[in-house]
Formats: sequence, C-alpha cells, structure tokens
Amino acid sequence: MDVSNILASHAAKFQTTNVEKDIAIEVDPGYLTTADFNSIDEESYKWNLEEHLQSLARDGTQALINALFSLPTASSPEGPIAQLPPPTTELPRAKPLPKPKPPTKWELFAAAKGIQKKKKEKKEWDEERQEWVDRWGKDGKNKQVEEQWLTEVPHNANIDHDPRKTAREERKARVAKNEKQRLQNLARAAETTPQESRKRDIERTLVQARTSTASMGRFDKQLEGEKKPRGIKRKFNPTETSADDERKASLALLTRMESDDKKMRKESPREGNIVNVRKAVRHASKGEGAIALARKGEDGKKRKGRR
Amino acid sequence: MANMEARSRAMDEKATREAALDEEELKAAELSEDGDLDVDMDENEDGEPFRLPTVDEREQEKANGIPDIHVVQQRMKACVHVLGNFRKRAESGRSRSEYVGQLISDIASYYGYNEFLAEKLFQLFPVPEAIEFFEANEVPRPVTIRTNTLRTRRRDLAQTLINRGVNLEPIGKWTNVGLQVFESSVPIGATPEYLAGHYMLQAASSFLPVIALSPQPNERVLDMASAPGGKTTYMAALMQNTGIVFANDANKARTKSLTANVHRLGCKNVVVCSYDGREFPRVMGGFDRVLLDAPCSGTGVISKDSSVKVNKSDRDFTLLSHLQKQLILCAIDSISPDSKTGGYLVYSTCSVTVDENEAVVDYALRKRRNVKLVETGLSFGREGFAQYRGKTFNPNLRLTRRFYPHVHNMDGFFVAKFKIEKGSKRDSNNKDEGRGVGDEKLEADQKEEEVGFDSDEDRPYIEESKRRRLKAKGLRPPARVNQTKTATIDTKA
Amino acid sequence: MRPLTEDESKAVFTKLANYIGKNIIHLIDRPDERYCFRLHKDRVYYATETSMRLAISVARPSLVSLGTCFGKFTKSGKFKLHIMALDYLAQYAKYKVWIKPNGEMPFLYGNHVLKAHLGRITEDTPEHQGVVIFSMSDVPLGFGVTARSTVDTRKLDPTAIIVFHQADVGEYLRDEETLF
Repeated sequence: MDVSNILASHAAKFQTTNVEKDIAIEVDPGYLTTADFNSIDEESYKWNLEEHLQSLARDGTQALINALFSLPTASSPEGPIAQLPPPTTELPRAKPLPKPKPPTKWELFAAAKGIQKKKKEKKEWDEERQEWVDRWGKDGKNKQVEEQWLTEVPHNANIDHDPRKTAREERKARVAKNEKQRLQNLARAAETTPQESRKRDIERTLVQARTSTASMGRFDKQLEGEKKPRGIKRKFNPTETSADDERKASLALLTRMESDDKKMRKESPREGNIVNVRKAVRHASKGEGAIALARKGEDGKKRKGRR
Repeated sequence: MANMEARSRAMDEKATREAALDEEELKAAELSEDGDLDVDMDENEDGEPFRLPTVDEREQEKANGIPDIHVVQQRMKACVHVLGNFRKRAESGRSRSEYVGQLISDIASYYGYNEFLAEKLFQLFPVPEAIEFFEANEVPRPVTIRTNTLRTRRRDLAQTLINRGVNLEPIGKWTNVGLQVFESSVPIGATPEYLAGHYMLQAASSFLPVIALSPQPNERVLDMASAPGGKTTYMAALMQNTGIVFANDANKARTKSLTANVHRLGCKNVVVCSYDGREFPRVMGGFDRVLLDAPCSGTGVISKDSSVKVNKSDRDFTLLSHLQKQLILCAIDSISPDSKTGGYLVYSTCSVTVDENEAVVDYALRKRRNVKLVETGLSFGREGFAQYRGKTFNPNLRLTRRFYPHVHNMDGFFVAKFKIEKGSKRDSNNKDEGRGVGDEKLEADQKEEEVGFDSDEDRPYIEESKRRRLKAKGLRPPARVNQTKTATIDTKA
Repeated sequence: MRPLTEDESKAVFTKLANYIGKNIIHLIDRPDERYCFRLHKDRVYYATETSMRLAISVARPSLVSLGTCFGKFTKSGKFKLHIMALDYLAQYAKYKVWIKPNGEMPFLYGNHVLKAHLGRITEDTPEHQGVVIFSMSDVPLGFGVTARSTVDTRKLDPTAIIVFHQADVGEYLRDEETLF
C-alpha cells in the first residue's frame, strides 16, 4: 500500500517547524525572546499588513519554541520543565550610574602621601587561643582586655583603678572619634562653602525661632520683608480621586456636623492645629476676649497717629 | 393661557403677513426701479446734464477740503445710474473705471470710510446693491434677545416683558428662541428677568452659527472664541446642560463677562478657559463639534462699531486672514473624526470680505483632505462665492452662507459648516505639513507628482546594504553575484 | 484645582446649611450624576465628575471656571457664598421670602428688604435664618438673612428691615469684575 500520498497531504496541512531566514533569528531563551534582524519585505508588508505581521510573529515564536525543546528538562509533577540558561541579552540600566562618593579626609591625605589602601581582614589570629577570632563584635579582639577574667594591676595604680572600665572607655572613645570623623566627612561632602552652611544654619534657626513662641508662631506679627519658610509644603488630596470616596467623606463629615454641633464648632484636634486658638486668645487678652483685644490694638494705633 | 396662545399665534400671523407684504413691495420696487430712475435722471438732465469730473478737477476738489455733501450725493446717484447701463448712458471718451473710481471716492467721503475699505466692500456687490449696503451700515440693527430655554419658554418670557412695557415680536420663522424688541420703557439689559438669566441680549446673526452647529446632548463641544458668551450659552441650552462645553477666549479680561453670562444663564456644563485658540489640539482634542467664530475685521457690524470704517488697512486684513487660517486648521485638528454623533466644525465671522471667509474655507479644504463642506442647515442667506474676481475656489463653497445687513436686516455674517471624516494614511501625512501655515512652497510641493520606487532598479543597492548589515553583525555575507558586482562598480564610477 | 480639605468643606457646608439645611445631602448624593466640589484660585466650584476630569487637562493659569462657582474663600479663611449658588439654593431652600414687584428693583440694587415690600414669607422662619428671596412670579432674585422671625415681623412698621441683603442677581452686572 502506498501511503506517501496521505503522508504528503498530511504534511501539507502543517507548516514545517524549521524556520529559514536569510539571517538566522536570534533566540535568547533566558528571557524567552527572539530577535529578527531581517529587513522587512516591503511587498508583503504593503499587500497585507495583518498577514505579514502574523507570519513574522509565527516565525519568531516557532524559533523560540524550537530552542525551548532543545533545552535540558527537569521532571516535575506538572510535567517536564525546560531549564532556561542565563540570559545573554544585555538590558540597559533603568537608573543612571551612581555617582562616586566624595573622598574622606583620610582618603585625601592618603592620596597626597601615596599611601596604598590595605584591606584588613575581619578575623585576626589569636596566638594564645591558636584560632581566628573576630576583630570586633561578640567576643571580638578589641574587647579582650575588658572581658578577661583576670587582669594585672600596675604598681602605681589608684585605689579605685578598674582596668576593665578603662579599657571599655578607651574603646568607646575610639568609636566616638570614628563616628565624629564620619559625620565630618559627610558634612564636608554636603556643603560647598562655609558661607552657605552658615546661611543654612541661620535659616534653620530662624524657622525654629518662629515656631518657638507660646502660640507656635500663630499670633506673631509678620515683620517687614519676612519671607515664608521655604520647603514646607501643604499636602492636599489629589485632584483626581474617586468621586465615590469623596462623596462618602463629605457625607461622613455632614453626619458628624449634625451629630455634635457644639463639638464641631471647636477646632478639631488634628495635626497642623496644635494650638488651641480660644485658649490662646483668652490668654493674650487676659480673659477679656478677642473683641477687647482688637479694640486695644486699634487704640494703640490711633494714639500713634495722633502723636 | 388659551388667550395667550391665541395672541401669540395672532402675532406670528401678523409677522408673516407683514413679511409677505414687504417682499411684494420689494419685488415691485425692483421691477419699477429701472423705469423710475430713468425718468428721474431725464428730468435732471433737463436742468443740467451730469458730467464726470476730470482727474484735475478731482484733485482740485481734494485740495479745497471737504466737498459739499449734496454735490457728492448727486454725483453718486448719477454714477450709479450711468454704471447701471454703461454703454447707453456714459459720456463718450470716459472709461468705466473712471466712473467707478469716482463713485468709490465719493462713497468714502460721504459715508466716512477710508478708500481701501470702501473699494473692498464695493467690489462685493453689484453697484446699486453696494450703495444699499453702505446705506444699511448707517442704520442700527434691531435689538434682539434670545430666550434662555434652560430657565423659561419664549411665550412666557414675551408675556412678562410685554407686562413690563416692552414691545416685541418673534424674529422670524427660522428661530424659536429669538425675540425682536421694537421699543421698551425699561432698560432691556437690567430687568429682573435679564438678571435672573431668562434671556440674553444677542444679535440675530449670532444665532446662526449655533443653529448650523446644532450641538446634541451629551457631546463634547468647543467654542474657540466665545466671549461674551451668547453662542456658548445657546449651545449649552441646546445641549440641555448635558455633555460638556469648553468655552475658550484668548482675552483674559473678556472671560470675566463670559463667566458671568454663563453663570447668569445657569449653564452648568461649561468649562471656561483662556488659551490662544491656536494651542488647542494640544490642550485637548477629541471634540464632537467645534464652533470657530473667528476674530475678524468686523466689516459686517459697521453699524455697531463705526471705527472699523477708518482703522482697517491692507495689512490688517492680511494678518487677520493669516490668523484665521491658523485657527481653522487647529479647529479641524481638535475634532475627533471618530465621533459617533458629530465631527462637525462651524466657521463663522462677522465680516463680509472674501479673504476672511471663502479664502479661509478654501484654504482649509486644500490643507485637510479629510474635510468637506456640508449644508449649513440655515434656510436662508446668500450662497458663498465659488469664484471671486478671478480667483476660483472649491465649487462646494456654494454650500456656505452669507448674510447682509441690507438683505436680511441683521449684521453681515458668514457661516460655513464642515464635516470631518476619517482620514486615510496619506492625509495624515499632509497634516504635519500643514503646520507651516500660509507657506506657498508647501502647496507647490503637494502638487508635485508622487515619486515611485522601482524595485528592480534598486536591487543592487538593496543587496549591498544587506551585505553591509551582515558584516556589521559579524556574520559572513553570501558571495556576491556577478550582477551586483557590476552594479556596485557602476555606482562607484 | 484641588479637592477641599476637611476644614474647607466644613466651612462651605455650614454656609450652605444656613439656607438649605439638611438638603445639602441632595447636592452631594445626587441620583443623576456624580458631582464634586473643587477649589481653584480660592473659589469653590461645583461640577460633574466628568467635566472636572476633563478640566484637569487645562493648565492652572488658563482655567477660569468650571461648573458652577459657589463662592470664594477670603484671605482670612472664611467662606463667602456668591450669587452663582442661587440656582441650587433656590431649588432646595427651606425658608423663602417673596417680595412685591415694587420691591424688586430696590433689592436688585443691593438694598435690604423692607416690610413694605414683603409679599409672602415661609411660616415659622426663625430670626437670623438664611432665606432665599423670590419675586412674586417665583423667580429667584437673591438671598439674605432674616432680621426678625415671622411672628415678630407682624408688629413692625413698614420701613423696618425684614431681610438683610447678602447677594442678589444684580451683582452679575455690578460686580462682574470682582465676582470671577
């Protein structure tokens, strides 16, 4: 029996799994991507764009699937799973390269003197114990003196001499010094000129001073030429919020307004409203109320005018 | 209530009867005009036959200062008469252009125009009609108001105003919201009804573009130059306060009165903004309908603002039409061609000159291929010019409408309605070219025949570039075929 | 353009509640479309959510108005109702005052409502209550605050003030420059 006809007709139904192109399609199974570098066939592109795109996509996918089937597999309850190799395509960075850190004072000095940087090991050899111990941390070498069960006391030692304490203080001082130097390095890196740092200091002090009155600066008179403190931003809800949420919030506010009228008239204790205005007014007017206070202020002005 | 209906019906009937009478009279007058005039002039000729002043005489007259008004009037009349039948009535040896020149300079001095504008307007009409036009510009147009249908109905409004001592009547059949005020014992712009937003003081002509636009409920509509808001509020009323109307005006000071009017008339779907209209598709696009009532020279509203007579020069018209061309392209681009209900643009001006109207529309039709003119939906008005003084425009310009003070008793006005359709690929390419507005060069480029590709001819180049690309990728390209070799040699040589 | 903070909404709602009482709920919880309050250049606007979302694409300096302007916040943080809110106030008003035709013009020029001009008034209106003022043909003309309760007005002489003027539709002409 001749089945070649049937086989041929059956084969004609399916496209061949081989993809042949002028330039071979590049497959990166690590990212499950293919890249087709062939130039676009203008004729078929113009003739039927949809079909052209579909055949392009089919070829790429076929190439990828071919590559996937040639990969080593591992069996799993769901069936064999191909093990993807590490990707070969280099993806561009999402963020720019980090800037190099500004050099510390020591690094500057070392560079000037030509001192090479030596890497210190984290562990140190302990002759007595005949093993590697940590330089610092728990049971560190730097704590050896203060953790000894027996310490030799020098002859001329004071009566209250505590070798453990002195050792500990010395160590703490070293840590503190290092921290100080670190902060100084940071500050040096941040500021450009001493004038600027001075200016910043003054501004900061000014802002602090403004809010350091009894009313948190609320009833202070604005001086002439006084600027608003910079960098303090009020935050509002975004313009585009869901109208449903907004409606709910408004309705909740309304119910609160209705339920306790008296309470609502007072300022609600929330952040930004630290000052109890009523109390402040009472205090400033010595218990006479805001109207009396305003009158007093006016009188003062008038007197000034007459003079 | 029944009584009111009857009265209003009677009013309507009366108006139509009068209109019919007027028409008859007009026709009769037209018929008899020729004969009458002839008789008139004959009598005149008995006394002293009309003689056109020579160039020298004219110069002398100019030097003498202001000429006698009566002399000028007589001379105009005579010139019109002669020009009516030039071959028969002209003096021998004088050319037509001499008569026309005299007439124009007389018009300029009699009505107080500068000569440039007088000539420009004169050329729009046949001679007798031109005089009518200039005459009509001296008479104020009737005061008209528009009922705010968001607040009241026309019949109710008419009744309340009549009770306040205002004498009014519906404008015409073409609108069901307009009322014409004949006389009023109260200031019509300060009645409680006006303040409560029951009506808007609005010229009859400014109803027309909105009627042409006919915005539908739930659409997104843009009014590109909207102050003081008569048209915007009319649109909002037609949309019954649904959808959204963007009311734009470039002049920030004028947006105040615009906002006041929008609020007074109770339009709640209006967003007022102040951009230059040319920024528009970038601010927001996708509108269903756009109304562009372009800034113009105002030659249609001379009766309202007579300063136009003297302060417009050739340069003003050039600048204005340039601006209008930019605006109309921006307006077209702001409309979404995919709009289900709309995709219409209405371009209107309160000017009668051709270079602000037909020329701009024709320009837009040439620049945007996916745009076509459609019927405005206005039952009256003259057809626009399809050709004018040797210029030939798109034949569809007959679908645009012109309105004149002496014909329709409203301000001079122009309305064109476009339908924006989906553009093919090539049209969208043209769009980008259109940015350089008024560039004659670009237009020339468009006319150039298309450059085609011959793939057979280009094969060697294609092959070569393929090889180069392969090499660049570090692959070994297939060996060159002989043919390509020769080709590359050819190119090198 | 931004939504109101809680304090701001409280100020707006208390002002509105003066005139329409609990009907504020109908402004917030509308069956037809979602509406929202927005603050733009110290003015409070009441607009549909769709128009608000479209207006977001208009740059801040170029946006003049959207929807209905209800009023504005003064520099000292108080809220002042403007005449543009009249539409909604009239729709939901609890207490109303109708004035006679001869009182319309004086009121529209910014004067208080005298007893002589009083046509009708809602029964049991308390003192210092926000009321909406209508003409006899039910056209809303403005709003104000009652000087006396309904009962007390009966004893007053005709020149006495019944309603203190707060806003009237004449402001569209008089204060066009400052209103917007």
